[in-house]
Amino acid sequence: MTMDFSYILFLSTIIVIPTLIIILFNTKKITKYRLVILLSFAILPMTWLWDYFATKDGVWYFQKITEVWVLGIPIEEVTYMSFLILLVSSVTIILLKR
Amino acid sequence: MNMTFGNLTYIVYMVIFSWLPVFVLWIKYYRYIRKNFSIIIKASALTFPIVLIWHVISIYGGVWAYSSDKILNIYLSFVPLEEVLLVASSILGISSITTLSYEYLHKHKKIK
Repeated sequence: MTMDFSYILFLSTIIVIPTLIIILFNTKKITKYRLVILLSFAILPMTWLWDYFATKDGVWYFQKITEVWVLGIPIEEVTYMSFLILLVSSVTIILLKR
Repeated sequence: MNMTFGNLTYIVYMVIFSWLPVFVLWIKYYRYIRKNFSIIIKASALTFPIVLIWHVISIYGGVWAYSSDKILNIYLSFVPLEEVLLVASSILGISSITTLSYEYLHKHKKIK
């Protein structure tokens, strides 16, 4: 079992950094509506469920991950889901309050 | 849960965990969804390409792969059709939840 950081690298470059830049340029608005973003995270257990069962069932399999697993899914997947929610909810809030 | 739907397995997971919840959400809160529908579509249209590009690069780079006996084997730039549809429905779901959270908090005077 070897640690591979490819997932983290791709995720950071394409999802995490752009999300943080979007938040950085809209800090005031995002901070004001942080409760909305927090409430949007209610969808996280559902995303975890499908990932857990699909991974367990072998619909997809991971090849280049750190092999750190959280409740049956790789830690990278948890990070991806969290940042996906953060990205989409932030963009939605920005558009809601234009 | 170990489902044996052959090449339709991914589709079945997608319907249960993504399409159905989004559909129920839209039916139940139709009034609020309709009010903010253009924002949901715009937010989804802006974020979908970012997430899709990440999928294309990751799958091409071999970060993860799919079992050919559990998907339809229809690919769009290395990404299985089911994955493209899942990403789209997930983004629509997250954006819908965000607008509903906003409406809820606004209604209960938790935000201005």
